[in-house]
Amino acid sequence: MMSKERRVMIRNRLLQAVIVLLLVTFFSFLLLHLSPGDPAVLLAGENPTPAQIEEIRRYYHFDDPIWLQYGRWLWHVVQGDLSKSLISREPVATTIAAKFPATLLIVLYAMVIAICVGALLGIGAAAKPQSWIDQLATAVASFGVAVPYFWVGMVLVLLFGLRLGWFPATGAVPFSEDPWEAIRSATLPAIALSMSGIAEITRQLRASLLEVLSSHFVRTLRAKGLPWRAILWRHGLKNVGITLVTVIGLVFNRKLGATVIIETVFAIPGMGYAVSYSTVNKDFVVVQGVILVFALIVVTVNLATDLAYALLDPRVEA
Amino acid sequence: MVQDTVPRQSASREPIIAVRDLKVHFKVGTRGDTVKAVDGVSFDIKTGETIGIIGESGSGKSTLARVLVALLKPTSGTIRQNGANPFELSAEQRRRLHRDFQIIFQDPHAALNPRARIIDSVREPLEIAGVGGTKAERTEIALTILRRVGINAELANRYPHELSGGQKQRINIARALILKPKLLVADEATAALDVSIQADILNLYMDLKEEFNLTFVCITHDLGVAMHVSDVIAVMYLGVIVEYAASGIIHRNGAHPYTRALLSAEPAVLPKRLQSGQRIILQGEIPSPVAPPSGCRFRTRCPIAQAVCAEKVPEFRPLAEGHFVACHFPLTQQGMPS
Amino acid sequence: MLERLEVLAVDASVTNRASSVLAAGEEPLLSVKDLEVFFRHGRDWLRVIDGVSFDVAPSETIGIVGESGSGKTVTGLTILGLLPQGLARTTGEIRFQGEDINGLPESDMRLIRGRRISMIFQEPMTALDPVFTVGEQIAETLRTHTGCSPKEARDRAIEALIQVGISLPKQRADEYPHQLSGGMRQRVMIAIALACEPSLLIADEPTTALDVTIQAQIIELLLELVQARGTSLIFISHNLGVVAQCCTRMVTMYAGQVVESGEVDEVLEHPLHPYTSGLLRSMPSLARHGARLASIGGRVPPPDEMPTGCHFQPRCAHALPACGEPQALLRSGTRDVRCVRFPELKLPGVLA
Repeated sequence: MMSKERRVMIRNRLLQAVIVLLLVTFFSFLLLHLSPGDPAVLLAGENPTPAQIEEIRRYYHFDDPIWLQYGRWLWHVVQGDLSKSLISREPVATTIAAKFPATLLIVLYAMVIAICVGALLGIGAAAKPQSWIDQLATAVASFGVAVPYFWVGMVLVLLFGLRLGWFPATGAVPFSEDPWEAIRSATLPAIALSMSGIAEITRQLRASLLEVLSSHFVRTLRAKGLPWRAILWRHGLKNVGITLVTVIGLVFNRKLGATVIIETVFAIPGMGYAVSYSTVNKDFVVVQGVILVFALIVVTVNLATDLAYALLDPRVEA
Repeated sequence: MVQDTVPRQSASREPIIAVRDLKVHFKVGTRGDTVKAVDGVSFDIKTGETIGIIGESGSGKSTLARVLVALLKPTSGTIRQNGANPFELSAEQRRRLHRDFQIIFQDPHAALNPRARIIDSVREPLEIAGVGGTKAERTEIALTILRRVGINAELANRYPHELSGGQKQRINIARALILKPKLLVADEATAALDVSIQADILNLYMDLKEEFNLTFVCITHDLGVAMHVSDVIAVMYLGVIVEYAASGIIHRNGAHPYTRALLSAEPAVLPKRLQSGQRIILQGEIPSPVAPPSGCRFRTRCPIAQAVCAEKVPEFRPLAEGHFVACHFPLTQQGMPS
Repeated sequence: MLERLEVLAVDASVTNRASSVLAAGEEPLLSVKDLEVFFRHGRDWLRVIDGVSFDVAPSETIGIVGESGSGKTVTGLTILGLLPQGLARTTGEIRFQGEDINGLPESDMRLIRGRRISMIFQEPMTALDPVFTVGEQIAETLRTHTGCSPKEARDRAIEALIQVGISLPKQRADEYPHQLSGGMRQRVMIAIALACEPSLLIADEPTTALDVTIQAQIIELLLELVQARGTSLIFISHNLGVVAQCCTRMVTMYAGQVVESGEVDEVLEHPLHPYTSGLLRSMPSLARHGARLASIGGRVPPPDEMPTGCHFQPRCAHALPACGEPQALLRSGTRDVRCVRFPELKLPGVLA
């Protein structure tokens, strides 16, 4: 049922995705190796002798040119081997699998908050321009963009976590163990994480919906005798659906990146925290592994967004 | 060939524009489709005449207009302006030739730089061409021509957004004429204007044509306008000329079924007792210029199409003195196929 | 003089419509009296429509002609209450089937729109929702007003497509607006407008954006449909030729006012208002080949600079000091005219 154009498009996208993954992992590899700090020294532990450092360096091939080291890592990856952490000696794959659920939980939670709040404010603002809800939406959007989310996180921890004790201040409970408690402890980080998402979705939805509602065809709909709620919810939303899907995709990817800081603030043992910890300690194997997973998710989300775009908008050909 | 059968006043007079087998094709879309905007057009424009080129969407008339002033390079075929092919000249020579062949477009607002005062916009061609003397002298020339089109000095100092559509179109005319061109093309130049403003502009065109000794090409979909101003009319359909004749002949004796359909489709502003009792309503839509019908392009909507119309492309040939038609069954005066 | 064109008839010819003059005592279907419309202009209200009055009989086609700034589109929108809420204010009476609908609340107007009075617009390209199929958009009108089932609505939508001359209706019903040509989109608009059998159809420049030969098709279709159903038609246009062809009566508007109305043929031959006369004389045609067109000179005054007396006075060749007073719409037999000098002026029409 898929047209030839669509198959060609998907094939091109997959090729692009592979190139993106290669570039991303290579550049992170490069950046890590160019940053100060000698991994061999860090790995050697307390009071190493020069001979021990040299030994470690040779073992890990730290003297090889960067592209060779990268090539070696890549070769292992395509065989399904993400290597072992330099520090913990644990397989990177296991580490990621263990930390992934926590990150996923707060990201999805943040998305739910962002979409719900953003949609309500955005639609309300567009439906009643210049009203109190329009002004509230604008205020919230400005706030969400201007205020650093990790600061908001810290304030939330202070107020709701420590002072009021409504939510746990730090840490995370695995979802598989106790779903309710897991959600409860993920609430504050999710709120902080959702800030910029709320702003983005509110603004985008309001702007697109306003534009759609002032289109010519809305006059035809009114002339047909349709009630305003049908015009807004049925026609308005369907027309902005494409923009909304695109924005949601973008917001999701941004949230992924933001987990690095949020997980640090809230001491959540997720992938973001793992990346930041490992970067500082030059455990580049873990870093590469996590970055690869992040990049994979981003690329998949982008592809899904594009496909949804083509499905939702009848004017798009392939 | 049109040129061969048209009697000449003097054998050495070249037509001001001669077009032969002109084709302009555009590649569009991702599938490599070709839009055959102009697909084989040959005719002459005699110095001093007013020719109206009429057609609907997809007829190619606007594309043709741009080729006539050398704004667009044809895919194949030749165009000669005053005997010279502009696309065989150097860029510098072509630019100089541009001055003699000017064009005015449909949207008067889009044609003017919103950040420049009117006087600056009108003076600009003089500056670009390097004629007219000092800045003060050029300003004087610009003001003179603006006055001629009915724009006084006070208005000339304003910005475009302060003026109406009709005034802007006059300014565009002034700017086109400031270098004293030999030929002026108006591409739907009055379509965006109200009837009463259009009347002013048309009067202006006719006065200026006399005064400046212009050859005038009026490209339009409005038959009333075309008939009113033109000496000869070329009717275009889907990239080719289907009929060419003096405007009176087109009106009384249009031989191509499309011409008749066009004429009857545009209702006359007349009391009902004087309106023609029957109308030709063409069936179907205008075909896409990407895939014009085989043989005669008009056959899919033609009321008198026969089998041969799908097989053979009708030749553009003379029916009478100065009257050319591309049809296998051109209509006679009584409206019967010959 | 003008010659009769001998042409080959192909389709059912558009015959002259018999004029439908109101029988004595018969109520007009629509009666607009002293309509005034104000638009919000900063803190104030600016009057853009100033004294529009006309009647429409059942099964009648009338044309409202005027150029830009005349207010003809605003008049059409006002009848259906489609002006942007909060930004427009209206006074005067719009009596439809005996009931004054001017200023009705939105919930009541909704029941009239698309059901008893319909409207079609100028730009078929942008007048349809791009993300719904055309069949769905027709069915939606039916479901909204008649409460029929989705299946029934769809069947009726396909039937409607057949009635407006669209071939392969089942296939077309599942297509989107961008897949259809301009002419077909306008047919769909007509189908939507007539789906619930309204008594009045308002057509605002429905053919202006279309090619001439397609325009002829659409006008013929429109006339066939309204004649068959007895629907009244208000045809708003700046194209006098189209109005001359379709309408039995015409109303000329200038700068927010009705300046003249009467039977089309009479107005064309013997206009009573200098603006109408000037408009008719300024149309280019073969008959006037090469001749100078009479032009009116000057411009339509913008709403905030409207003269208090006759709006046309600054451009009128026959103006007198008396024209400085506000002018009322005067009646003379079957004609209305807003000019104190009309009894003495002998103005040229199209045949002069």
